[in-house]
Parts: sequence; C-alpha cells; structure tokens
Amino acid sequence: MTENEAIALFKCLSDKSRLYILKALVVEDMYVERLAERLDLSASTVSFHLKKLTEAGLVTSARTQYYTMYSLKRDVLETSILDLLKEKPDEAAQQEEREAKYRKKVLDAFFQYGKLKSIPAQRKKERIILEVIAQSFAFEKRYTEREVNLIIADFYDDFCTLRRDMISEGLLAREGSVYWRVEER
Amino acid sequence: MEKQAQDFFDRRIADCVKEQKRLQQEERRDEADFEKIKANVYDIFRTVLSAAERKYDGDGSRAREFFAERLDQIPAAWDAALKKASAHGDVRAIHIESIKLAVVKDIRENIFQTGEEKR
Repeated sequence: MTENEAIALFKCLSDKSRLYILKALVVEDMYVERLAERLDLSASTVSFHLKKLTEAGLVTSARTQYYTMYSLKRDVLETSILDLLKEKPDEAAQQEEREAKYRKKVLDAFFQYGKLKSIPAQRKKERIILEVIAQSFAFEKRYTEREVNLIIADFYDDFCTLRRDMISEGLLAREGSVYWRVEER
Repeated sequence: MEKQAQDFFDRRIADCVKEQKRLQQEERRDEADFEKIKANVYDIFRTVLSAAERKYDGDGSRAREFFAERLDQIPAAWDAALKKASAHGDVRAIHIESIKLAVVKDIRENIFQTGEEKR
C-alpha cells in the first residue's frame, strides 16, 4: 500500500457512520437497505458511505439475484499499522502516483459523465484530455475526416479545434484526408 | 403566509445547523456537510421569499405566485442533475441532488399549507 493509499484509507475510516458500517459487515455481508435499517440511516446515505469505503479498498460488492451484497476486504483490514509504517517510500511509485492524481484532477474538472465541459486553456491540461479522446481511435485503423469528427464530437461540439490540436500534439497524424492514431513515444 | 413562512425557514435552518453541529461532534463529517447543504437550500428559498415580499409589497397573492414559480424553476436543474447522475451511477451526486430535492418537497408541502391556513 502506498502512502497516499494509506492516507486515503485512514481518512475514510475517520467517520463514525463508516466505522459502524464496517462493524456491521464484520458480522455478515449485507445489502444497502439492511445496513440502513440497522444503522438508522437513509439508504442513499449508506450508499454514499459504501462508495467511499469501496474506493478506499475496504469493501467490495457482488450482485446476487435480488441485491448487491457488500462485504469487507479482509486482506486490507488485516494489514497492521506497523506494516504500513515500515514500508519504504518508493520514489518512482510516488512520482507516478502524483502524476496519476494530477491527471485525475484534470479529468474530473473537465469531464462530466464522459463529455468534455470545456477545452482547458493550459497546454498540459489539454494534452491530458486529448490523450483520453485519442483512446477512442484504434492504432491500426485509417479514418476519414468525417469519422474523426464524429468520434471527437461524442466528447465535445467543437471537434475542429480538438482535431487540429490532436494533430499538433502528435496524437493523430494526417495525410490528405486520411487520419490515424500515432503510437505514443 | 409571509411571517409564518419566514418562521418556517428560520426553524428549519436552525434545525439543520443544530444537527450539523451534532454530527460534527460525532465525527460524521460527510453527514454534517449534507445538513449544511439542506440549510443552504432552505436559505435560498428564504431569500426568494424576501425578494418576493419586497417586489410585491402588500400584494400577498402575487408574492406567493412569484415564490411558487421560483420553487418550480430553481429545482429543475437539480432534477436534471439527479437524472444524469442516476444514469451514470454517480452515487455522490445522486445523494446530494436527492437531498436538495427533498428539501424542496418539504418546502412545497409546508409553505403552501401555511399559506392555506392563513387564508
């Protein structure tokens, strides 16, 4: 577990309702309504907390015939605090984590439900969103300009600007009216 | 309606603030934040009511009409956000938009009842 993951885990645990949810799940796996009844919380509040617990890696869920059942991820909870403290920081991993965190922040700010809200003014941020859009293009395929526009338009109405920027960022290449995705260096 | 309605908002906001403090003390910070959201929504409509009163000074029925229109208009965006969040399984947004709409429901049920009683 990285330091940031450990911090996220402790932050998640520092909430009485979430602690009570975990206490209930120690006894048995449960579904949202049952937890809500037991803890005297609304079902949507319980869902909210379960989402956070899932993101922190403390809880997992599985669909059954009628309900989604939640259970503890016991392997994570069995990690001792001392083990976490003994872990040596991995510089490369930390750097990678910082980059991933920054990337996520940019994507959260500029995308909502898979649609781009606006084109970032900063080049570094725009590069990140263009990389995401580029993932919709297959490497081996050749695209017409119309096909390129349609793919980009799924993300944002101003497909012309994004198409041009993808070319200038080296994510797409063009010859005449044929486009293709460029392998990342 | 106006005095009773203002009292209704004041009471609800005071209840939310009290509950928010209790939850904070219990280390239930997210739920405390949800109470703050509720208080903010009550406060928005308390402000709308004050604006209606100022705009239609002495004309209670027009003020009420103005307020009722805003009570439909303002939550329309929250309703749309809830639908969008539900379609994408965005649990946090679903919860927050539901809280806001529940407050609107509470206002609708109580504020007009207060008005009816007065008439």
